[in-house]
Amino acid sequence: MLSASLLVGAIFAPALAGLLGMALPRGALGARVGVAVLGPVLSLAGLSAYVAMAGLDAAPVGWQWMPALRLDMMLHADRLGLFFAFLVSGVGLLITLYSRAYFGPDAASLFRFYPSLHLFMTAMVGVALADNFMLLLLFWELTSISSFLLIGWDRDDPQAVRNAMQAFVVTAAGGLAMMGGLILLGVISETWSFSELAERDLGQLPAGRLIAAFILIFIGAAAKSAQWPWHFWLPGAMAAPTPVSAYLHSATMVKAGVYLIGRMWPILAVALPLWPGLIVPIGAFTMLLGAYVALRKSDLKQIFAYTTVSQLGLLMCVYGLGAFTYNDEPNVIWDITQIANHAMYKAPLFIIAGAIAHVAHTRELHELRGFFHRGAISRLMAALLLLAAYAMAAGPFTVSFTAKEFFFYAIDHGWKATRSPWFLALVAAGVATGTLNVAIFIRLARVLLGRGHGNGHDQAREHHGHAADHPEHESGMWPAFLWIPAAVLVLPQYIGGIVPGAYEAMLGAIERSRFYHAHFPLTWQAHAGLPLYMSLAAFALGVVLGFAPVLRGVIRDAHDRLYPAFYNLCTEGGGRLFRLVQTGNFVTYGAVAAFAMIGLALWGAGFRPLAYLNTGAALRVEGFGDLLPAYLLAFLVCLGSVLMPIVKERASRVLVLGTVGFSVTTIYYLYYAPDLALTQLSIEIVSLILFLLVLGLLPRTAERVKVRPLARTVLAVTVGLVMFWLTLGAASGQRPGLTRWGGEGTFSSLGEFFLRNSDHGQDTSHMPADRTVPGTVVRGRNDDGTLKIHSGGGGSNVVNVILVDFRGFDTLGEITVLGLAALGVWTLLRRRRPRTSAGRHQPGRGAAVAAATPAHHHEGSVPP
Amino acid sequence: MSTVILRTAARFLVPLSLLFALYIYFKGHQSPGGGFVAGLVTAVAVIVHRMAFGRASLRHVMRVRERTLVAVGLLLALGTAVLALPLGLPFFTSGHGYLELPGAAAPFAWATVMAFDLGVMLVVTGVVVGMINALSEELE
Repeated sequence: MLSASLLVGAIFAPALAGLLGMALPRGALGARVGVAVLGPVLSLAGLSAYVAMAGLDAAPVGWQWMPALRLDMMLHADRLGLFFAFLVSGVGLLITLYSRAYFGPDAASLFRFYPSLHLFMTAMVGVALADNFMLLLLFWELTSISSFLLIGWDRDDPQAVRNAMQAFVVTAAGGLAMMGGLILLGVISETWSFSELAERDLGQLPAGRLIAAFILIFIGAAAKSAQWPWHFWLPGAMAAPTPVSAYLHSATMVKAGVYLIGRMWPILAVALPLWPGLIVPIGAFTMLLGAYVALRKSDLKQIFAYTTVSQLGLLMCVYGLGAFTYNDEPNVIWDITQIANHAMYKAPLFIIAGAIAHVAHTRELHELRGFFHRGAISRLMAALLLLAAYAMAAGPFTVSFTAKEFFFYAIDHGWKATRSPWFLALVAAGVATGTLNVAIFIRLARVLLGRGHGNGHDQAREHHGHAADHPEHESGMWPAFLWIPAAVLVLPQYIGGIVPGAYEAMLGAIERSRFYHAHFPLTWQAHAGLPLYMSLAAFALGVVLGFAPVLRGVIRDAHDRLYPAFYNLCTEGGGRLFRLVQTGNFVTYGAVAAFAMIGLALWGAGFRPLAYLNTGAALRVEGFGDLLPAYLLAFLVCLGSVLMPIVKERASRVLVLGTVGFSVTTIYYLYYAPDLALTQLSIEIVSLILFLLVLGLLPRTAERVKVRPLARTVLAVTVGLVMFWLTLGAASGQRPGLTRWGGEGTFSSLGEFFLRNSDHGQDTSHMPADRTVPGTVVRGRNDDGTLKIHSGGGGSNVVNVILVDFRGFDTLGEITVLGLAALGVWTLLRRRRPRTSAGRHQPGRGAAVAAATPAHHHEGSVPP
Repeated sequence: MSTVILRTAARFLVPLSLLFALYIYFKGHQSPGGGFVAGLVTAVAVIVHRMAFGRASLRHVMRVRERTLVAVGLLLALGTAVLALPLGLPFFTSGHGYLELPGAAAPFAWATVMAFDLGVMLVVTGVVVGMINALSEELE
């Protein structure tokens, strides 16, 4: 339990620190930063303590919560999960410090910023460690929400708010698909956690539904990890402050989808033939597309956003290739190296992009020409940016080079395993992506190192006027934290790249032994083969492309139009649908409800209306004399019903309606339903009072409305017949094999069960306390401490026992609805407006509507 | 509508109706009645009072706002259902027993569903009285 507590602490420490920060006075800058730093530090400490205690291969830990619903708080800190959790907390610490430098001494901004950032940290560590599907989903959605808050951080910038919406809609829609997939997977496999799923034999599961579940989960993962065609939200998310871009949108959150696929990989990859067929093409296309668009962008953050898209495609592709087995060896992935590598160069790129925006007040490439030569701090930042960009280009002596070699190796491996011609396309895509990355690096270097002067620092303000990008300069140690986090992150790239042993020490323990290839070298060793040739080709072509005067100029990503089109479709289509459904015409509503009821009833009976009727039992006549009063009263009811549409005056209509109601009441009373009679009587009285109140508002006679009497008659008769049939069926129905629970024997109908069990029912004493059955009543305890349980409701009035006991849950729902309806009426009636000629504005509309919502019809009149 | 006849009759009818409501509430489990009907009868009694003696008099007699009645009723019903959980029993498990009252001929049979039924009664009373009250105020 201690280890579980450590993990829970590691998850929630950042969010708690964020909350604590909100309790601090707004001006307390130092304390705020201190508390904010505490969050990730505690998280790191918790994770480290867990590893020291439980090691890397511990089983899931946690608590049960609702076993019946498969909801629990099970956390599984396996190697992949631990790596992610460390990544999130570690980079989170650096970003917390960077944010302080980025926002400057702006206490108000940090007051709002840190809690959102820390909420994300908690959610993301939770995603990494959750074992239960639903728990994962919970944290997953939390990352979407916190990402939304952070992208739209600049609330005054409508573009930022729009982009935040876009990111949220895309990732949350993916989350919905993923929820469907996870639930489907849970239902068919009867396991609700990854660790249990790994032990199941997936071959026994129904293949079709397994594929459906996988596709749904992949949609969620792909939307989150910005795979084509959902990738457009990620460049849009660059409206966020740069610390957010560096943290959420390059290093951590966008990897959540990749991470999920990584979790599924050992379980599903080999069992599912669709795995590579779906993931590899989408990943490869995303990889190529991202790299190409990145080359054609001029804003630093946009460039890095699109290279992030590209790298995410590569990561997906890596997992997709993991399905191929060659020489009995599954594909080597070294996925943690790939993910760590990306975090180690992409986060620094963003961090420095923000720092450059601080110093140069622009992020546009053409305005940054010669930035390197503008002073000592510029020199430092440009150098760091180029070091990170060199890693992005996967240049030799970086971890990135090894990673890219491993990716090419995976392609090679898959090619050997399948000999499929499609791998030629994949090889081409890999080389092309490498080429584009090298070209991006060379162009960045040429701009930053080049001579000449970028034009103007000042007009940049309009371009991307992120107020927080240009705070007043401050002195002290904090400005250094604009670049220190980048240096901390980019350094391991080179240490690991130059000294293989150092890299082994860094990630060897966590990467090694996850896979079958314990003997495969963790670091790259030169040997002539396809991977090396691919790298060489990428370098050569990239250098040429970097200097060549082709593929210049800025382009727009055509996918940017997807979301606005979708948004318009939803809002306009929704409006159109609304106007179609909500006609405001009471007659239409009534007809729709009636038809729906008829259809549902027939559908429920399998379109064989006579199948469930036991007409003999229902129509058993006890003797004409017994039923004589019923015939008389039924005649009154029919007479009243026929008179209703004929009578013109409203007061008379109320009286006729009352006659019908009281006749029904009498029928209830005569035929042994005193409860119903009592209720019906009260209802009649209440409706009479209501009618009396409303009558004063209405004209004496109903307006002449054009109606189609024939259609209405047919509808009315059909509804009447269906109700008659339903009642008859309910009273006589003999549905075979109905419920058997708790009480004695089987029952042909639910009603019979209620009748027999309402009072005492069977005494099922000595039933253990945890074996209680729905609808049972506890009557004290037996001598041995077990509960005395009766399966009855303890009352002889069946109606009330059903209401408050057997179907108490229904009643609770009903009174809740009743209360809500009353709230609605009060709210509507509270809009007091001057009352002018009520209900006469729109003749032809249902008069009842006018009466029920008088306020509605006075929209034109101006309140004082 | 406040006539002498109504006022005179209301003086007798309203207390009697309230008493009857209480009666059918308590008897509900064994014979016709129950919280729902009791709530309706209470509401009718309150409304008759309002019709006879006016709004001010109603506010004087009934100090509780209708909204409060609905809220308390809902909480009571929900509380009865949730009560089983801390005892380790399934949601909505009801319990009952007998209470020996000094001097009574028979023990009083109590059940937790009585609290649930009381909740139903309060909600129904609150909703009906509140809706009709609001409508009447709109008219006055």
